[in-house]
Amino acid sequence: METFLHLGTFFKYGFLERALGAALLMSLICGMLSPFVVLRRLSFAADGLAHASLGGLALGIFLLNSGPSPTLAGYGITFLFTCGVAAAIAYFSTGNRLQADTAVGACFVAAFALGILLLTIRQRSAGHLEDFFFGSILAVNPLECWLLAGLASLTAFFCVSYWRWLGQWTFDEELARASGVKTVWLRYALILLIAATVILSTKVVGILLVTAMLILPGAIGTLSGRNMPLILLCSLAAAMTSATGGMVVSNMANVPPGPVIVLLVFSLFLAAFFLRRRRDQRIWRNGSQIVREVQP
Amino acid sequence: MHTKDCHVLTVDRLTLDLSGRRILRDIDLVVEPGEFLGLIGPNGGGKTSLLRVLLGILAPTAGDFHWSEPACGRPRIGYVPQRTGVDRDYPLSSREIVKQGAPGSWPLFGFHAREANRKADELLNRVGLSNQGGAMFVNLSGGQQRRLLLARALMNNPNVLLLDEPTAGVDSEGQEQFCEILRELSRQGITVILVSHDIPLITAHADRIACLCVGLHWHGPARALDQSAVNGAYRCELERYQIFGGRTRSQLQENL
Repeated sequence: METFLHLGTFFKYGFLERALGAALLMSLICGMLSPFVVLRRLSFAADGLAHASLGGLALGIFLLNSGPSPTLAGYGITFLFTCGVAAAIAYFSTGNRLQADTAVGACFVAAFALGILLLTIRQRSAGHLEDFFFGSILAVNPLECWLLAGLASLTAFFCVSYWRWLGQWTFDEELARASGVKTVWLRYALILLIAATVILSTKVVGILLVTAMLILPGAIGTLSGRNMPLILLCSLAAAMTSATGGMVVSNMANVPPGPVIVLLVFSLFLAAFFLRRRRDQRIWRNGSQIVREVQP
Repeated sequence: MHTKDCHVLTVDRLTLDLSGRRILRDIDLVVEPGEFLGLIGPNGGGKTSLLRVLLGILAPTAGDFHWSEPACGRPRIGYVPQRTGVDRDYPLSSREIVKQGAPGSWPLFGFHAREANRKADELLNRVGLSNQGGAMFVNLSGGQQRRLLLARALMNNPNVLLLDEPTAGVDSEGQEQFCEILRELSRQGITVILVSHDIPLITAHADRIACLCVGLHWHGPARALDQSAVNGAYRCELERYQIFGGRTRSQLQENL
């Protein structure tokens, strides 16, 4: 009952309403993208882009001489910078000279270091570094809510339009290409959507924690379902439950919502993992029983 | 439907270079509808690369190839890749993996979803996996995984099947089962192009054999394949890597 009362307080204040809306939109986007991030093994790339986005945010603040909250132009600069980092990763890892994970590691630390340096030079923003790292959801403005709503619509359109192509691509890239799937286009589109998600999620959970929202819901989905619709539904349910629950718990306990959301989604991941382990053990035991019955 | 006077595939002086190395040289090949063609040759001989060119994944450096003649319509192609490239931990069930082979990009709903399920079950039954529809890919044996990939390739109602070493690492009984399925598909009018290292198996089932080692060393009816043709194709591998086991080239040729 108390929880529902706390949920009710979100609709009394505009800033709380925006915060809940932003958290739900972010969880919707991450819930849709996460299964493909996990199945295409892009977890480290997503983490790298999240860290690299700090460089873009800092560059935007540095060039526009704006305050700690990025403007629309600042978000544009951040998006271009993050896309530039993604392109650099693709360039370095093409042609068997360097493994993709090494290229991601090399590029994201450089971009992250640039971000710290630029924010330290701009003294008035440097004091808000923890806002970038862990989010400041109560400071979400209407522009950011609209941008998140736009990105959620675009992500939903992408997932529905290329649903079966995405499924084929996650199984085997060469097989998908042989079937006529435009795998290069899918890869670039997914990377661009991940880049936009990590940038716009900075305020909600911060760049250090957004990776969890891009990986854990998908991991929960793949542990729970054996077909793509069920994997997506489990991923969406996990992301949205933890976003709503995290907002309520943080409001009740007066703690930052970003870490609470991430810890909640991690708890769901642990539950999914152990349920799956139990199911696998039961299947294994049943299989052994059948073998014993067949072999006297 | 193809008629007998249409070639399914015509390869014309096809050459492929990758990273400065010649992979395929002046390949000429014609494949007829419903034919079962076996592609043999040493490792690095260009068998997989030829399949990748035919699938449009690699572009030829010179020469050309075309599927069918315009009047016959472009064939639908099914492909079974080498198992090494496939994600063994993929979490979807066998039925879902087979359904992925259906063409199109939008989700399937209602009648189309039911039809895809029915067809996937029918294909699983056809390849002898009728009781494995709910099993996960990782829990299938090597031979079952290959048959599952074949069922997936058949989901698109292909006219042509390209298979890249589908029987590698599979026991002899599994290999026989697999080739029997291919033989049956070929009898039903599906053109089969099978890459394999197992020469006795492929000569027992294929109509024609092509020995590939950068160039096309020999091709003809399977029953006409003799030891010298095989030696000729496999000798070029030794020459390419200069592995003569301490013997001179002339000694090696004498032994062959």
